[in-house]
Amino acid sequence: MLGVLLSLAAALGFGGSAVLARVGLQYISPVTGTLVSLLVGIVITTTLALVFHFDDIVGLAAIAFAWFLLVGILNYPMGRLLNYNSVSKLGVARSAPVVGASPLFAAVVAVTVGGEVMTLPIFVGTVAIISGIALIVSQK
Amino acid sequence: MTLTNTATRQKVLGYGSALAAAACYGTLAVIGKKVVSDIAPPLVATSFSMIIGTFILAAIFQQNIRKDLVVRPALKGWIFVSLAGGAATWGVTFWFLALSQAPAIMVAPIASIHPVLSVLITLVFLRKTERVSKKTLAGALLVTFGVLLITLGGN
Repeated sequence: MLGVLLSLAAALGFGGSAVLARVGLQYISPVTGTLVSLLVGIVITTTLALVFHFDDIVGLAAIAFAWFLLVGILNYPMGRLLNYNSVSKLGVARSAPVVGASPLFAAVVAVTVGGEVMTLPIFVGTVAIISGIALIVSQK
Repeated sequence: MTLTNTATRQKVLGYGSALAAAACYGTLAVIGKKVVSDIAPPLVATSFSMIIGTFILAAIFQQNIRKDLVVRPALKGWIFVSLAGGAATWGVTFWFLALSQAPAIMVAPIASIHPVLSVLITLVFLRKTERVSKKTLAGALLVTFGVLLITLGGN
């Protein structure tokens, strides 16, 4: 039960974030909006990381920073900026479902690069996502 | 350029950005799994990658950001995107907390309903700013159903 509540709290955070960004992006550009949202995120996550994982931080290997660089580039100057740009241009109701289709791309990468198997649920899920996006995009 | 052309361009750029963001997040899910399994705890990885990403973003777009700060110092905008950043961090933190209490096969499908929640929150709070059509709602539900199937199928 606790796991379900925590998962719902996570979904509420992700869902609410897009709506709050939509309101803010009426007044500032997606680039500045991304930067400001990241600064808030840094304060929260760095504080939590220092409190709960100080020993892990001290013991980090140099190669870890190469991975953080890759994740950092993909997630923020690319992922979040493109996400905010989309919210700013389309509105949150059209943008959020398309951005939310990211597991489709994860499945494509896992099947093509990772050599994982395309199962029936993944295939049906892919068709459902593409149909959903087509439905949203087809609006005048 | 006519008004219709401008609107079409905005739509193409918007959907292109949304799909590119989804591709980034999707690829990130594969890479992120490796990072949090073998390299560092999730909070540490999130914190450092966020710091690095912010520096890169600020370096690339420093002129735009400086111009925005001087020309359009909109306090309301700052407050709402700060709240958005806080909400996204809330989401990530609870995601990890949920994973510590329940298996991923249960957490991932529940958390994947967030696009529908966005649409519902928009319906309630942004009715004056944004119109949510039946097609949008149906599309959001279909995407969420698909994400759920992929998440369960992947496990």
